[in-house]
Amino acid sequence: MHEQLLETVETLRSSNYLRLDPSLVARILELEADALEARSGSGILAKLEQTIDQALAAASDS
Amino acid sequence: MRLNKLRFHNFGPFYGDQELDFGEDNGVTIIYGRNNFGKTTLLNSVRWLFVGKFRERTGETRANADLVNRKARKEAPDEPISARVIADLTWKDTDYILTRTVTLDGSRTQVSVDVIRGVDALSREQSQALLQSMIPEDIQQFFLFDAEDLNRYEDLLHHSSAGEELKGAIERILGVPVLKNGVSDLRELSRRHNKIIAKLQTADAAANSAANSLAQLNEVIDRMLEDKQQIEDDIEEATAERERIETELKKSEIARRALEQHRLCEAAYHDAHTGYDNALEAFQLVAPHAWVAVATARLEQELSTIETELTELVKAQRQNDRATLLAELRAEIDATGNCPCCGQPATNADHDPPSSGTDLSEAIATLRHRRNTIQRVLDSSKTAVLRERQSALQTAEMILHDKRTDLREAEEEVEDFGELDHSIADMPNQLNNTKLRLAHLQQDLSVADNSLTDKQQAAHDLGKVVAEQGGEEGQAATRKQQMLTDLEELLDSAIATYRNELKNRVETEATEVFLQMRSNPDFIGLSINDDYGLAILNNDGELEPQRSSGYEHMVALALVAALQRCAPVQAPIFMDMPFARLDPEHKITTLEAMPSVAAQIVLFVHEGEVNHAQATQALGQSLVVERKLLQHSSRHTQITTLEGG
Repeated sequence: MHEQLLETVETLRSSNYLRLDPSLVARILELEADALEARSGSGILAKLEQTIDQALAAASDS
Repeated sequence: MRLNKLRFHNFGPFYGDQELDFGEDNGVTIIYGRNNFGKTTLLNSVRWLFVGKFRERTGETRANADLVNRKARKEAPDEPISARVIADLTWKDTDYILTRTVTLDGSRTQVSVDVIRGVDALSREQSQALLQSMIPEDIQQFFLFDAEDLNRYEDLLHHSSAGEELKGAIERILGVPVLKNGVSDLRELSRRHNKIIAKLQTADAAANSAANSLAQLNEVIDRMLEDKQQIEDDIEEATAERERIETELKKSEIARRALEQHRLCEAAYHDAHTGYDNALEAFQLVAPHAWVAVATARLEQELSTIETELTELVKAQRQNDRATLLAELRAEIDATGNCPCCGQPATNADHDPPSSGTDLSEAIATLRHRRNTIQRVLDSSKTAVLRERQSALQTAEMILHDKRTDLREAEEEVEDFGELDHSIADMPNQLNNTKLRLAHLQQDLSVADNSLTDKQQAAHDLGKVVAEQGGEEGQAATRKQQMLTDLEELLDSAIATYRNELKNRVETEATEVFLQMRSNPDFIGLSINDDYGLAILNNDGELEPQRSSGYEHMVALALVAALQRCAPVQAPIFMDMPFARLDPEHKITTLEAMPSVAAQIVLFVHEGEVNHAQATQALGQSLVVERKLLQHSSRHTQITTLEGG
């Protein structure tokens, strides 16, 4: 995963989107980076949705 | 990624089993080889191994069946035969062995890929996926290139379709699609989520009405998405058509140049042949004297002996002549009593008259004849002419050999093109029409995108109204919708920010490498545009409007170096004829800058471009391996160590 890309997104998150969990954002970028070479058949949408649902569940539990 | 070793089996001209070991250390590897010895095949072997394509200079892909060594095929015409490229490499701290094999069995051609990670053999699917991750096909151009292609980077300075494509590839290597795909995927998830929201049951009439409107809007959005997909498909089709026409045009241009080159080579070969015939004829005229060169020492010794003998004989002959004269005078005095010279009475001499010897004149004449003959043979002007004509003949022979090689190469290149398609004449018009169609489609796509964004925003607002009245389920849906929106907005805003940061970084890194290569002190750096095109910055603050092809080359190399430094994908760089366009001074400065372009660089050069002494001086410890290509025949090139290397 590209370090600079992560840094850029994290800087923006920490200034404008504090309600988003940094680990959720990092995970989404990681999933997108992994799916970059083979988009079709990667199940990226399902993986993203699952990650987001898990983050929402964790937030409501806490 | 670090490449440790490449191995070849009957691949292209590399007959049998051969290998290229890159040693233990990172740095620069140089492979020296004359034209047509297999440098470009080595470059392509890496491309073929990773992405399964062997790219010809025309831009076309060579058929897999044509990759198998012809000598090996000839030796076993009825048996299955394979060509193979194997790479031993280290990637992300793990050792891999990658193998791509093409097997010919009668009329069947089969290609297979095998990957061993550590000691585990991966499945076919895993192997393919791994190769894609190591060097993805659309960014391989930044690792494997023919330096003659470097002028493509000029397209980035002028807004063009080729420039757009290259810009896309640059953004790809720098990771921008991670954000773009993220935005697109999150938008799709929002759309799906809105469909779920539209089905929420609420007690509120207004919310129910909003849910109905949302359901209808979702259907509209679905249709708009279908339309958008159709436009994207049309764009893909038109782009492929444009590429096909451009390839054909490029091929015809290359073919035209190849034919012209062939014509010039034929004329040059004819001239060289005439020169050789003339030199041969001139040599043959003096050739009968060629034996002199062998007998010179012996003849010179003989001449010296004759000269000594002749001197002695002449001396003796003179004494004889004097004695004879005196005897004749004495006889006359004896007969007349008077001196025959003055007529005075002569008295008897007290001493005996000298006795005359044998007549030596015949012996002297013989010796003189022999001496003259030898002198004629040894005539220095003739041996000089002989040597001169022999040297001229050798030169003419070398020229003839070179011109014959050039002609053979030109013939092979012309053969590659086969018959030229005469429909080529209409292709510029077809290209313009396709470009026009593409421009319209891009416009349609932009309009469709904007409309879609508006509708999606409206759907999002309606969804909010519905979800707020949807009880607990509705609240959960609202939270999810909010999270999806936040994530989408975050990634969307990151695209522009990240692009700006990348451009600044690419500009800084490229400038650093460029300053190592340039010799003109007025050029103080590089300036990047929105398409990643780099212009030279003069010390008067202006951008250089024109630059030489050599400087184009250096700027392109600086960009490649900057991309390597900024990209998450790191791999060795392979360059074919990287110095061909540079003058001697810039060859050295560029060579010196090579270690800062990438950790591992492999250069394919001919010794007229750069030689061992220059490489050693410019690179020092960074020059890790040197190899030379030796051609036994056009079907058999061998990778050998470099003498003195």
